Amino acid sequence: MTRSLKAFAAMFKIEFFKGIQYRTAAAVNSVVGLFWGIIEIAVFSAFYLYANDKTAAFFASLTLRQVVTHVWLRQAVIAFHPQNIEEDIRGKINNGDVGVELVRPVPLYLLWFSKTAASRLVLFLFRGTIILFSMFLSGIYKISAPVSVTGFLLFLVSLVSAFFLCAAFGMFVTSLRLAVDWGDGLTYIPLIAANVLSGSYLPLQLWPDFMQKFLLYQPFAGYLDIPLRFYIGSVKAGEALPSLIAQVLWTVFFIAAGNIITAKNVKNIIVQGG
Amino acid sequence: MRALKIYFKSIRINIMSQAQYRGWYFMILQVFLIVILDPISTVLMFSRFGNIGEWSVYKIMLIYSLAVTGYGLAETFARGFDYFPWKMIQSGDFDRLLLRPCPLTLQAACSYFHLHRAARPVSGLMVIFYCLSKLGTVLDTGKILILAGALLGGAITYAGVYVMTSGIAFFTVKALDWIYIVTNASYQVTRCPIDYTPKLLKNAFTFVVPMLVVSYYPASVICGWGEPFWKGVLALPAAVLFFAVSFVMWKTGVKRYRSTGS
Repeated sequence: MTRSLKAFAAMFKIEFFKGIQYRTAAAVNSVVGLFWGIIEIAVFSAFYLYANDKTAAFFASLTLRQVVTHVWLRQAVIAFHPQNIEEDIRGKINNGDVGVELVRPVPLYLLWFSKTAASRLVLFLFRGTIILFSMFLSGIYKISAPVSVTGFLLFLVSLVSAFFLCAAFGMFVTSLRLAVDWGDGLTYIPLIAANVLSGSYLPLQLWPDFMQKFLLYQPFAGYLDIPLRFYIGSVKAGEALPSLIAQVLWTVFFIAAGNIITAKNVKNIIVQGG
Repeated sequence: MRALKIYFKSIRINIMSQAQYRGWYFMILQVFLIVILDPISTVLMFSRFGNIGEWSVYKIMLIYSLAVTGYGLAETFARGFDYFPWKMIQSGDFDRLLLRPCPLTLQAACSYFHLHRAARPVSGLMVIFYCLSKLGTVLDTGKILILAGALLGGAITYAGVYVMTSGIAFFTVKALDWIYIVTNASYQVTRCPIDYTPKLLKNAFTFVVPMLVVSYYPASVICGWGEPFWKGVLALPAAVLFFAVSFVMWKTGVKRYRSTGS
């Protein structure tokens, strides 16, 4: 336990200083997020304010204010989402440096888990600035305050949980990529599925009503949608505790699966190059 | 002629090297998935809220897929420039191109080619024709020409975007993420009905990067939504002009290049 914490702290430090070095890049990344958020809100407000069927907005499970807040929070929390295998790690798998990683006195899974998690956390810190900016926007574009103190605290708890879930899934996919001769395609497909089902395309509560039960308990709701529901106050009665538990159970599942697949792939590992 | 031969040979080598992976077809499947899922929020929102004024899901999807197809064509045939800022400068690989007795721009364009990227224009075309038939638009020769002009214009515009960003990358080296505003994020603007698009976005994507000129205006002229004819046929000239400006920026960048790698 202390060893894993130490490994994580060391990785976080490395990634953090790497991030600081390229702070212009990080700032630019936030500008893109801000731009993206504004387009999203323009599209959503067209539906909410100008759709011919005025009752649709009334019956939707989220108000425009809640959707706008969802959009802005998403811009920061999306930093947790594994969009790809860590570039460093992928390079090591492709060019054979994975052999060097295996020599290190830290288990491969733990080492890479720390690296994956740390780099995501650094990106999250930078992208948090988008939320700060969105507080100063005017009209419909402005982010709202959390619905209540309890809501905000539960949001924080769920956010920490989301962080570990994202890292666990990122490592699950990385462990698949260890079978190097399959190439990238196999690993991208679960990553795409995760992105869509996380609610980063559209808040899950705006998806068709008959899918709601499935959407809440599939693994990727915990990426983004569950924590944000606490913040904007759209958690349905009786779903708060089950959704928090689902988040943790999926995290445990992906950590276990990642470990098993890593162990299996390391046995037959192909070290490319020298 | 020789240049074309080199271009296609390089592309062939690229395809063959990717086919070495056992799961190569997953890459094609992956791009198909991205393309299908990308507009899912628009489709789901229309199914929940219904039309917005005159705007139906087919109209929006037609404009969107015009932009996306152009983007996909550029991504397929100028992938080298798409990758250029990330792959060639920091690593110093650009030095290798400078040494070869072959046009530089051509080499950069075909330094990468990914067959799976063709999935985007192919599915984009299918959506275009599906939406046109749903909107009850019958294509005659004139309309086909406008459509072809729009697609070609889109491809040239986005190729221009890549060439321009590659040129600017010579100066910025690492701060590159802004590129996404003019690439992946740019066609998201077409998801918003034009009457409700914020003025700033509308102007930026008409006069700075002519993205709406190659998507919304041709679509409007083809289906008769009321934009004047001349705005619809402006796609190709605007794209060529944009590309010319981009090309100058690329040339300036190349002149300023200082090797960073070994």
